[in-house]
Amino acid sequence: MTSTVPPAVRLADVYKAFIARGSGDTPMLALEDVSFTAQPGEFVSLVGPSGCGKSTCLNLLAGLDEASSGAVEHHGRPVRGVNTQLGYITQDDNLLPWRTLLANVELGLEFKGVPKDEQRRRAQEFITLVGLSGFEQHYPHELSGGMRKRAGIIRTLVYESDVVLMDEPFGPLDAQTRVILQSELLKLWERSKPTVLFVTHDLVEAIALSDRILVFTSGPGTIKKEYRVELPRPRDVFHIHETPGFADLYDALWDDIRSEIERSRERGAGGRQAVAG
Amino acid sequence: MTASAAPRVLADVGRRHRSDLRADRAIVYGGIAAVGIGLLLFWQFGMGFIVNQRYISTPLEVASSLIERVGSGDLPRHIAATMTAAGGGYIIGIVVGLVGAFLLLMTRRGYEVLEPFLLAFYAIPKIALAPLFIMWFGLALTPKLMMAALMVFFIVFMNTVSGVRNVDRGLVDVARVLGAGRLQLIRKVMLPAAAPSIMAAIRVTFARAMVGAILAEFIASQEGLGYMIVRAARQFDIATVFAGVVVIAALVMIVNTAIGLLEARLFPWASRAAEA
Amino acid sequence: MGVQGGRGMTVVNEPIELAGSAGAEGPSAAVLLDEQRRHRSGKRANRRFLLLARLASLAGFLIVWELASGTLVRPFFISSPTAVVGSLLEWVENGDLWYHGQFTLLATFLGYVTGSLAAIALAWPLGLMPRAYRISEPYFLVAYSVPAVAMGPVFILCFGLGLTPKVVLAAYFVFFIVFVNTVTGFQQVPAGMLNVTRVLGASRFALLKMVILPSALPYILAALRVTLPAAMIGAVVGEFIASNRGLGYLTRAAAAEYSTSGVIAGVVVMSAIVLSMTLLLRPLGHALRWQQEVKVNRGTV
Repeated sequence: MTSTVPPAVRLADVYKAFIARGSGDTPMLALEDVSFTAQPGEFVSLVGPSGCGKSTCLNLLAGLDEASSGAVEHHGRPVRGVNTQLGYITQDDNLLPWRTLLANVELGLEFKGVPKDEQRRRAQEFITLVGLSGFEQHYPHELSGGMRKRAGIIRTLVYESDVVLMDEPFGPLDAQTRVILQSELLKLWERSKPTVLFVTHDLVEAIALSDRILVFTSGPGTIKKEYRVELPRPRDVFHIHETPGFADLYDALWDDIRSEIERSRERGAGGRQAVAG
Repeated sequence: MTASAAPRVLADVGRRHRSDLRADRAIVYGGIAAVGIGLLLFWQFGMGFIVNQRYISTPLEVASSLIERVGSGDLPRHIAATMTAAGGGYIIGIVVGLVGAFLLLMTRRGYEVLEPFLLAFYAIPKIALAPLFIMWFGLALTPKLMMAALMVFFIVFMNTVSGVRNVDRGLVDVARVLGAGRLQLIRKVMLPAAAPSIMAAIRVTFARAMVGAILAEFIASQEGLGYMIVRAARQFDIATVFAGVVVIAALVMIVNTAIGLLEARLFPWASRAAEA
Repeated sequence: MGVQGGRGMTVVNEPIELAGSAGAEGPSAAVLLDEQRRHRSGKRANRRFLLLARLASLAGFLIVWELASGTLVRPFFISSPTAVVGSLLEWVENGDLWYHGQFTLLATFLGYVTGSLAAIALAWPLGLMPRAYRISEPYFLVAYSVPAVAMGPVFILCFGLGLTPKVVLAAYFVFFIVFVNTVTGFQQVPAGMLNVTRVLGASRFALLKMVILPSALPYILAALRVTLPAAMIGAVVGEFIASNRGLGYLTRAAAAEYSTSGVIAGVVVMSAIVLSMTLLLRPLGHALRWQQEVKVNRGTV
């Protein structure tokens, strides 16, 4: 470490063990000796088989969970308690069903004490940006899955925190909506360039979005390999397959993941199921 | 980093978990015991300052009344009478409810036609029918049985009907395409799919059967726990009133537990106990 | 425990859309119109059939009842529709219905309010403190296992023959249903929603106000919706056991005089009240624009 500015996020020698439900009282290891950093403005994807502890990393940074050992830092400061200085987007949109779209998007600004008219202005700006104007007064159950997803994402991006954690945000969407949202996410990201940690199962998605990809081993999660994605920006997610360099990277990633999936399957057959991460 | 810290971390987490668990159990079980003892002590010594002791008796008096009535054979006789009525009514109510629901579902539009009447009848306070039943059937076992059965019947009936009607259309369509007839459809698809809703009804209705039997005994009867309570109340024998209430609560809990265990045994796929 | 009641009927007036094209013109518009016409006329025929069939079965039932009475069965057992109407008219004329009805309604209302308030006041803190809830749970289970009816004589002993024991009994019938559902409401708040809102920066108070309370509200409302009839049953049970006024007393007095028509008339009145309460409170189920109804635990009353 020669740089004087601390990285946006840093995990160092992190271990996380917990008592899985149904495992009796035996603790299981979810993360084993995980260390990585992400620099300001970097888009980093975390990929790996199910239950490899990717989501655990995000929960540690969000302060929703505590490391059993090791350092978890946000801008050089250890994370203690719920970390309200960053953005956290989950697979479920988790919009509040009793608030309209507009009120949901304003929620974070409201908590952060932004004046009311400023809240309204910024929320409106982001709503327009993702094409949801006209739906401000709709309740979440009146919106489609893709619209809710957009709302969930801008709810977090609207307060422009410099680190955003995304846990398989596009998981339950259909293939078309997914690609459209990926491209919208990239556009939003280009605006203020926050650091993004993005958990996904989808290798194409990881390549299309990221600067760097961390491949996790199956549980206990460790970082197996790190890939730099050198594809030029701005990227065209709709034609990412045709970009030179894509195929080689995809093959390399897939080889890594496949061996991990096989490994976890063998272990699963031997008795204990991998714990959910 | 050379050596993995995993063994140390696992040991730490395990140790902390065990001590947390111990502390939690100590607090909860200790708390339960403390609350229970506190309530009993308050009833024995403190309640008299709030309400006239004559009206609320004391735990010791209740216990001695219980023992005395068990010894005299009085209590076992009343328990037998109430349980016969409640148990018999429970079974009758379940059988009639199931048969009635399926007869109605066999007809093509019977349910749709009768729906408003069924909902209206469902809303009738069944308890209000008790005087009628006693007029019809006298003071013996029959009115109690009928009352208990009626309390059970409607819940089983409505839950079966709504369970079957809520069966996934897709499931029914697939079975149709596979060539299932009407009876087969009911037996192989609808009944199993509605099982959880039917089981839920069967599970909760014993307490209702008890309510029916006891209410009938309150109004007119010569034996049973309800009769015992009302007679004791007229004689201002409060300890026996409470003894009756305690026995009823115990019976309901015992039977509910037994039904839960039986259900997990017989229908593991539809059971809540099996999921736990 | 999740006994489902009658399902709410919803009438949906669905406009037909051609798959894949919203505002179609030309030939597809004709197809749309045609389909809509067929759909509508099918629906109308269905509604007419149901109405007729329902009226016919009601009329058939009443006629058979009337004719069977005195010919197949002694009127003492089943009375007859005309006799029941006669009893009702008599009650209306001599003022009995109103006189006794007001006591029952008053006890019902007071019991409903106090029972609900007590249940919410107790369930709120317990729903938020898991450990306190686990400590108190066995005692609530025991109390819940006592059929509310069995408490009737106890309350009458403690509170005499007046209004109070009926109110307490009505409240007791209401209490557990509201309590159980309120606790469930507080306990089922989705963990993901809590976590995300916390990271957004919600304080403990904001979390309670913006996430936990609104998410428990549908459960509380659903319980409040089904417990008004339960309150009335409680009041009537109290009147059955010991009272000299109220609809329960009126019915029991008729039974004591072996007036079958009077007893049936009493049942009809109480059912009519319960039904109108149910219909009256139905809007509570749709009071929240943002949410469908939730399943309610009706307890064992």
